[in-house]
Amino acid sequence: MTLAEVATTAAFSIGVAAVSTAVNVLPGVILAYFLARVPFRGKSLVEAFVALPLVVPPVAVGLLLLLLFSRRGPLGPLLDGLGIPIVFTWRGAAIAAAVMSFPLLVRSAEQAFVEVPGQQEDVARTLGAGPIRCFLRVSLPLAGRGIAYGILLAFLRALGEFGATNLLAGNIPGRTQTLSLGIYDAVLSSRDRDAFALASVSILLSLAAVLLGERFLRARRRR
Amino acid sequence: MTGAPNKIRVDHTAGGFRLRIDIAWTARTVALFGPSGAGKSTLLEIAAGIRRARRVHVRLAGRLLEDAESRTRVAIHLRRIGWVPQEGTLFPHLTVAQNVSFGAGRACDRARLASAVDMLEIGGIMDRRPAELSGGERQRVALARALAAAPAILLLDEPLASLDLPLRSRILPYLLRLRDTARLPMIYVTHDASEALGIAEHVIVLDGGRIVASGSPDALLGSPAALRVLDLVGMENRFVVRAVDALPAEGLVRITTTRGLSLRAGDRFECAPGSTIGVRAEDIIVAIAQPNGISAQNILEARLRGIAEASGRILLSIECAEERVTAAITPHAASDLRLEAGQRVWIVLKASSIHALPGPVS
Repeated sequence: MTLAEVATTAAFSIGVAAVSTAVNVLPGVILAYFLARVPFRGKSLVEAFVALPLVVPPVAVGLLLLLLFSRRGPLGPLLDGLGIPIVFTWRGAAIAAAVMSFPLLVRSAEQAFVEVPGQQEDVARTLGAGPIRCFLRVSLPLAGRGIAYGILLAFLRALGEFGATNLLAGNIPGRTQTLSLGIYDAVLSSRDRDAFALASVSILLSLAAVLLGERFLRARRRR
Repeated sequence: MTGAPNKIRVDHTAGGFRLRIDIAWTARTVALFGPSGAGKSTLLEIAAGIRRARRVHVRLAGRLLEDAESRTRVAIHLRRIGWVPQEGTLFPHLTVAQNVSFGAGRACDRARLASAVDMLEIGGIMDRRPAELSGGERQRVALARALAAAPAILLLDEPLASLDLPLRSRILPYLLRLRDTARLPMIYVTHDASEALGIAEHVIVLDGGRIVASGSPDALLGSPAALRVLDLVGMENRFVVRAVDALPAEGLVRITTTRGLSLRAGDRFECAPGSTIGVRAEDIIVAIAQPNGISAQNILEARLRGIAEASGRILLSIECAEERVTAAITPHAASDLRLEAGQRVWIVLKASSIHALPGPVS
């Protein structure tokens, strides 16, 4: 593997992780808020469903996604018709990473919202803030640190995603190969040097993300 | 009182506690007074709409806010209620200026905001964050924030309770200014009798989720039911007067209680044999050596009989003459003095901390 190829794989991994995290943020935060604040029937069922990718083997999740998006699945023909194929494309990698990392974001954000004192929101309401303003100006900023942490966790999980991605996006060098998939490929074909190169890059990337995230969180705490 | 602008009727049970209230009033400033657990805060939260109750009717400042029968319920943010909870709960992520203007946006009334800032004298701390403020400053900011949102009525939930005594006396004038300058209707929750009687035109006494007395401060001081609650929370020490002697040379009167306690009060102090006087536990200073060179008029030798801790303060049960006297001191003071039951102590009382209470203990 040339340096350029390693760099391309790393960039692709970062891109996939970034897209999947970006896609997750809005629905994840809104869902987390509802789970934390709004009592409704069947809440534990929703919570269990959200947590499912954490406990089910990633390959099984990948299989389900493949069934959903393949040509014979319920969504595949529709998306293919619209010119947005999923299986064996970068979109597949992003979807697999998004599904696998979604619970981490939701659970961190939910916990963060739970920890916002209800009285803060009550006071905001009595001061004339409607539900949306109350959410944007009080709940969200106060839960901000926990949400940021959840986003970081989700990004890191997406960066390391392997099982589900392998099934839905395949392992096509230069097209859908992420760092994890690349390492696996290199090990299988006894390219030890490549495997170590890719593994080193992925460790450095994760380390950098953690350090940056921690620094950001600490700066916010000091404020 | 069907035409009263304020009416709260509620029958609400939660966690084994039942709150049953049916009250209407016309006075602008009303105090909700009663011991901890009487249901005062719950009632206030129901009025603000923060706490849901099933059988409820709330009319405040002439506006119907909630009525279970007609399924009327004005949303919290449209109630125009200035609710200041016990701890103030400022938004920690916003500066004082941002806190105060949080609710002012809807009125777009800069003048109102400026007058709230002026009234509570917080102009100098507008750039700070709540974590950088003292307890008293925080409470003033919370009051200004409520005021700036152009409320139709203020609901103040023990605004002084979290402050120590010297701070209370500094915040109190602001509350009086609020009452007299802003001229807003106000419900003031307190478990301090002197606050209730001093601030409000009308006092509602709550105990165990029910109203035990309601009326003007003057009328209440004659009500045995109200006095019982007062006894519970306000004046821990109540003595029946046996004799009163004038001491014209000193400008004082000497009061002797039925159990032989002799106290000196100012000569304008009015009480008669058979009447009741009260002293707050907080107003009693305890010394382990005889104090000298002190302005207080009452320095009495006594014996410490018991030490107990109750809600963050140390209660001392002291035997003085034949009377039992309760004094409240801080845990810090208690550990400094190394008090032990049975030890000799002196209690120190200013002449002005003796209060006349009408009627004997019922």
